[in-house]
Amino acid sequence: MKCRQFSIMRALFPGALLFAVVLHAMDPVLEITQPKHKAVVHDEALVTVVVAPQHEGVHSVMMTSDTNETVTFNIKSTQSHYCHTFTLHLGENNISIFALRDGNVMKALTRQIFVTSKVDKAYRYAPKQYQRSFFHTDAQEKVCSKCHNMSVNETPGVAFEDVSKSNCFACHVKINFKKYAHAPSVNWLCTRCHSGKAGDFNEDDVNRTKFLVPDPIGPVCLKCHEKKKKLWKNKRYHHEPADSGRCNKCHNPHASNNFNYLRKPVWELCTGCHKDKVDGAHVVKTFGRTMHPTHKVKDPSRKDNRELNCVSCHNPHVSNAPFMLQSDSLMSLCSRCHKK
Amino acid sequence: MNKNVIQTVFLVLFMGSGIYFYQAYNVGEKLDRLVAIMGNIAHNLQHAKHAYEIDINISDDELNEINITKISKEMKSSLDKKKEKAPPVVRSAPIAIEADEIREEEHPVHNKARAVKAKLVRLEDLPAKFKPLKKYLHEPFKMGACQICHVANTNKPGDLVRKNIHEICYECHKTRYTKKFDHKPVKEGKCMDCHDPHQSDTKRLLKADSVNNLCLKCHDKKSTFKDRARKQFINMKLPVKHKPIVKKSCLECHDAHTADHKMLLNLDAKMDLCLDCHDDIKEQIHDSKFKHGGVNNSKRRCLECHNPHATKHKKLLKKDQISMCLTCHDKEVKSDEDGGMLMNMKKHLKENPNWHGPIKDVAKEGGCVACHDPHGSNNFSILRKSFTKNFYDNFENKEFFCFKCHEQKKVVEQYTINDKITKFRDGDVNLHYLHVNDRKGRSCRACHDEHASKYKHLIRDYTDFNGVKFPLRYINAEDGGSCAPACHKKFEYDRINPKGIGR
Repeated sequence: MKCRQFSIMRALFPGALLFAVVLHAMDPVLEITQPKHKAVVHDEALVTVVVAPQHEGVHSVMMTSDTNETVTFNIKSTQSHYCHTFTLHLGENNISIFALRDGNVMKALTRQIFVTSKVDKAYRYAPKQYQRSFFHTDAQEKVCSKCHNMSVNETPGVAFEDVSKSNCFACHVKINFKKYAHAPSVNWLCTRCHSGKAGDFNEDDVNRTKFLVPDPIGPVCLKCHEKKKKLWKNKRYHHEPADSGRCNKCHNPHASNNFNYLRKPVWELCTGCHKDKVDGAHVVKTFGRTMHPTHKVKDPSRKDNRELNCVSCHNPHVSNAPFMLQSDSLMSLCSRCHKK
Repeated sequence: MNKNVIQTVFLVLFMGSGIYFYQAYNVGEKLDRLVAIMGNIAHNLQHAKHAYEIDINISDDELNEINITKISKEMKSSLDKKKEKAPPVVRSAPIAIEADEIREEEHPVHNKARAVKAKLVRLEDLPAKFKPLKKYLHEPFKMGACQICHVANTNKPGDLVRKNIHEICYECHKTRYTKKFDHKPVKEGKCMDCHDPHQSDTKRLLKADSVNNLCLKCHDKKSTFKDRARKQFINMKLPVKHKPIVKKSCLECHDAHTADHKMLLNLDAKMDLCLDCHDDIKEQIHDSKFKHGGVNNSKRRCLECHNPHATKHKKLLKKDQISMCLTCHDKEVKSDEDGGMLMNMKKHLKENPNWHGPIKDVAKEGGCVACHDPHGSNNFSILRKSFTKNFYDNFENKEFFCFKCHEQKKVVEQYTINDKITKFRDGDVNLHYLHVNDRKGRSCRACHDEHASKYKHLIRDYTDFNGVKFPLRYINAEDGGSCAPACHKKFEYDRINPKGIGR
């Protein structure tokens, strides 16, 4: 009897041992609720990381990004989730998350996030293994709603007297930390664009997030920029992005360090697509020894000291003249600067 | 034998049933009709030309024999009978009177021949109560023909010929008052309420010293006369009176006896009557591009705001100007101009303590009417002069209404240190100039509310930009202030220690 029992024990032991080892390996210690691994971030180079320590022994959690943006949370018994919004750079970002106990690392995790750019061809598309994920779904908001008010408290058509009262403000405030900010963005009228409706190009994403922006965004922009609508309607030539309603290709609808909320300075922005113009061999190359400058000089047609750039001669949206010139004929364009 | 019997029985049964069916279904008639129809068709086909000929010939002699007058009389009598059957009409039926007759009645000539037959009373013999005689005498009274109205030789002096006095009046004054609306005393036959049958110091033998006073005998609040008359009282002690009443009399608008329109008026009281005299406003009301709903499509038209008799307030308004306007504009009212909703002005003024000058000081500056023309205007929002609805509007070459009172220097001069011109300065940089001029010059209303605001200088709390309300977030400081609207981030300005805006 004894012998038989022992044999059973002997048979069970390795199994139990294996189970314990597996259990230890599976022991979460720290769980990252957001973002998913290999996630793609569009437009704004911001991502919010949400972590939930699962083990009593975790005293603090440290998060670090590539750019050495570091944040440390001391774990309290009352709070289950901890979050921080990182500023990222274009391309692949690594965010490391450490669960610490008395300064010793209990567990280290990493999240790889890819930031795409609409105008930078190198970062136009994320590598295959990366997938787009959305934050604002009902299931995920449940976690946040323990601390944050996740409802929309915006009165349609009325801006906040005190913008910090917007429920979006606390998490997304970094969006506007730039030199120029677009009025709806800086006044936190988010749902005017983030209506949850889809456009022709992103119909598949309809129910994946609450605050979807229609793509193309053009019709939404022209709701406010009414005059442009009339102005552009009857012109002969249209720049493709403007015509297809992808205003946000060149303009950042939230904020930018460049004038007119452009994603890059004008010359860089234009040459991002029109690469053949980069070498400067542009306009009247044959006539003189020096070529016509396309940037880095003052614009003589303007009173203020603005730099000459593509937009000095070309209209980025619409034109009646070929080459999308600013004035109706070539001669009148040249005579803007070359007087006499 | 048997065979024959059976045959006859069958024959009889067959014949009997045949006759029965023949009668039951009128087969004979139907056959006859069919034959007639077929015959007709056959005839018409043969004599197609004569198919519609009618052979009725009445000679002239025959026509003469028909007694038309007799027929007409018969018809009339039958019609009369029908009329008698109809329920009796309460109101006395109008009597057709020709113009000549009316003219006669204006100056009734009394039948002296008839009076002579009766006993004439000399003026000296009249009872003492009629003396001394007054200025205007009733014609029969003047003649001494008392017996036209009074019964002679009775114990009671002054007994009337007929029981109802109006019947006596209508003997001579044949015009019955038969337009749509009658004055109540007229309707009740109380001629004596207003007229003295013998003599008076006033024209038309009135019982008062003037027409107005006669009317006010009843139509006064304190009058003890009649309830209904008192309800329609007119308080002529109020300071602002309608001129026709003062200079002439009530009869300028009202008819004392009968009229086709309510309130005994000759024209419709709501508007037509008023515009009969007020020509200039008539043009304005009918021709202006933008109309005030209060006059244009209200229930009582002119009378919505004006009292036609007398009031405490200027322009015969029912209430003082501001509260008059706010009786309607105490809710969102639908605009006639574009069908949009006009704001609840009462609420707006209540919530925002800083009011625009004209509203604040009505007596001196003119109230709502200083800017809006209540009778209609060719400028939107019935403004007296042009203004803009736009956020961006270069004020140059345009006559903005604001500059009727506010000096243009405020926005024209680029640099100034004069506090009187403007206090919206950063050092000597005129910030009005900065905002208003240039390609994207903003209109006044971009920052200022025309009516009232929580903030000083009528700065708006929200400015409307393409349908979105953006707060200006204006903060007033001792020597300047700051704004943080949607247009730009928070900018501070200071008159004494300039912050460098616009440099």
